[in-house]
Amino acid sequence: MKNSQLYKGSLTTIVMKLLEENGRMYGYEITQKVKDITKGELKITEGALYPALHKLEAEGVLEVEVENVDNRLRKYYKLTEKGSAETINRLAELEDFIRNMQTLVQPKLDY
Amino acid sequence: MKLTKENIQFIDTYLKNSDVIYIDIRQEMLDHIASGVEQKMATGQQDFYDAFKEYMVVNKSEILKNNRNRSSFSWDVIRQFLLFLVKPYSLGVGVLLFIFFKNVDVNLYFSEDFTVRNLFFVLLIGVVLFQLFYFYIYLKKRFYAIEKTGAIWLILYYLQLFFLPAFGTNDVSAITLTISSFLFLGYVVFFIQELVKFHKHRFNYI
Repeated sequence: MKNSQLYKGSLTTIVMKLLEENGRMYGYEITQKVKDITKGELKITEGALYPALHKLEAEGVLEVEVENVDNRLRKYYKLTEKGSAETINRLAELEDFIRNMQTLVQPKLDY
Repeated sequence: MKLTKENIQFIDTYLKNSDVIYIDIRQEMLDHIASGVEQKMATGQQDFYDAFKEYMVVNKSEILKNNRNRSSFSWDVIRQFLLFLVKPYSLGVGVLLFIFFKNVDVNLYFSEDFTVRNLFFVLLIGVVLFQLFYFYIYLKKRFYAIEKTGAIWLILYYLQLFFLPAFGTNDVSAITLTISSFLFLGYVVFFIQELVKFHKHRFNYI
């Protein structure tokens, strides 16, 4: 991931947001979607993505559907009910974080 | 451009040779690599082997990093186990066990030849023998989804060595008995739950 220290904490929220918008997605699709949306600026690495997906699955935030696609099995991830509620909370947290960062980095000065 | 069965088999063998031993982990990696190679073949007008080689040169280390993190010792599964133990019904069982051991001196039912300490040792060994039979004789294939529970067993084994040494002769207190039984029963129930979950989705992996 580009500048991984800054993005690391937001990876799961990014994944959950994408799944909220797209219903269900598989690992490679998620990496490509992020790359497309950010015009190649942000690249989620496989080494970061899959452990994050498995962790969310273990927490009951995501559930899995497996399908046979083009001679191989493909694992699709989608949000559970708990995951959908959690996404709203995490997005709100992320928005707060971004707002606070903006305030800190570009404070509006009162004269 | 879609990959053929032979191409898929080639990637699978490559991953096997790269020590990706768990089938469930390998399947996901395989799909990831296959998708990347297909895209490369479509955009770069390359044949499978050139596209695969080019893709792996750039992505191999990141993809295999996912495998390196899959040691039998998983902190995630330990965290899940601890969360399972603090659920209200688990704690309720713990309280019932304490009441039982407080009121019934189970040490009386054992002899010097076979103490309570020996019993826990035998139970833990029994569980691991069942798991070995299940993994290596029944399943015949390795699945991370189920083998990861072995990390908890390892911790319980060391805990009983420390708190319930098999060669001690003095009686075991109600608190020690409660904690030992609670952890052991918790592990058995947790393992069965994981087993049921795994079997429910087993068709996913085979």
